[in-house]
Amino acid sequence: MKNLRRLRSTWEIYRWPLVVNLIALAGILSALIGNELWDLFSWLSLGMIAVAISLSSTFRRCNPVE
Amino acid sequence: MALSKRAVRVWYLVHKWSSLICMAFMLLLCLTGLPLIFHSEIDQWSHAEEYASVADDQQASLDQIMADSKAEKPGWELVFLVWDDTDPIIRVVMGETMKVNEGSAYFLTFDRRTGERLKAPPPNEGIMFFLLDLHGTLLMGLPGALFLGLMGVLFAVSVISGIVVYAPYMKRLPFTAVRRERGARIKWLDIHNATGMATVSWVLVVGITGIILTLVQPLSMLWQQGQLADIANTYRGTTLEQNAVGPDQVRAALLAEVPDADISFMSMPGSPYATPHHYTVALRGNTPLTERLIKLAVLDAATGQLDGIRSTPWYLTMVNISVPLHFGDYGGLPLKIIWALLDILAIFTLGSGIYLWLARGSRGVRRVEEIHAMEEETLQQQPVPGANG
Repeated sequence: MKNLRRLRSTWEIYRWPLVVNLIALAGILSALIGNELWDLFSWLSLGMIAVAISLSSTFRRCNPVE
Repeated sequence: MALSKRAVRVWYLVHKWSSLICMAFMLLLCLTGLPLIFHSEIDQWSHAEEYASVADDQQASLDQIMADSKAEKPGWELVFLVWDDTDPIIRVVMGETMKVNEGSAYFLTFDRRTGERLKAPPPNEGIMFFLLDLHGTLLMGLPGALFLGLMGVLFAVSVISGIVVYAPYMKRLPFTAVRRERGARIKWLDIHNATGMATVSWVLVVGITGIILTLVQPLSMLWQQGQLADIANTYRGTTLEQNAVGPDQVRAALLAEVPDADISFMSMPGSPYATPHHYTVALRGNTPLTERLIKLAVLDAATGQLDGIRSTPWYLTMVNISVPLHFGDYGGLPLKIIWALLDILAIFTLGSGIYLWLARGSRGVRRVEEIHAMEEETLQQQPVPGANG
């Protein structure tokens, strides 16, 4: 079946990667700024991204022809 | 603002060639970097040091440490004293002359509270030093470091062009989608796109700080010929009597002026990071934000008087900030584990990129054109405002 769904715009393609990378950047910098809570934020944000992307590229299934 | 066919083709070629040239080296850096993240843990595990249980604010005599070092290595010069930032130890760096380098230096370790000589393995030997040397210089000193810096620049180009060529592939796919039913090539393309895009900020931070660290040696020389030479020039013509003031007196003079000084490094008069007439003492900042921003106390070696405390020039500040951001050793063990995980993801991105190139068949660049052809076909049937322009 031919896919007639509309194509994603540039903004739609980049918005989630942008959000993920801004969170990662905040995590990278926060551990540099302070300890305790700052470290915790760094672990949670960066760790979440690292784990989520590892799991999704291992297990996630996707069929683009919807 | 979709790119023209020609622009996509150019960006695709930039991505392909910048990646192809540097990928073998990047793979080596990711693989050697993985154990290096846990450098201090591995050192402690392979050689756990038993420290005497004494009060932490007790301070051993630096003059005594100096005398003990010189007794162990008669005729050698004591060049630097280095305070460890986690363990209660001082490392003494000795050289046959003051012009010491890492390979020829002789290292001694002392308990900084009791002055007891510790039998720690020298930091310029063993498997971890080998890995660090391979990682930093390809075992080839400055030329190797600069070459790796160049590869790092290509890698940054590869990442940025990768962000651009990501869009044409993702017109129909959500972020992190992996199409498993369409064959190995499509699957690995999607994994490459997903892991690559999700780790862009991390690989750019580690990559750019890595490039900066390949320039440590030239930047140190710049500093020696700039700020340090300026300090030395104010004393041109005067001669210093040998060992006029010992390190204990220098430390006492410094602490009298700056009671909360956190000393990380002391450079002896005549050594590469001091002047013939001065001691320089590096002070760590005492807040988390400033602990890596080193200030330099300059002390007159003839009198022990504090000559002034100077900020390091911006390029040394840049180096000091780059070290933790590159090695990930600034947020405890959890951050190191995350660093390792992200490093493994980077290995996946590199590996899948290599696979995509090897499994390219005869199609090459045509693939991008196919995507565009597909796009235009759909657009004719269903024009979408904003998707093209």
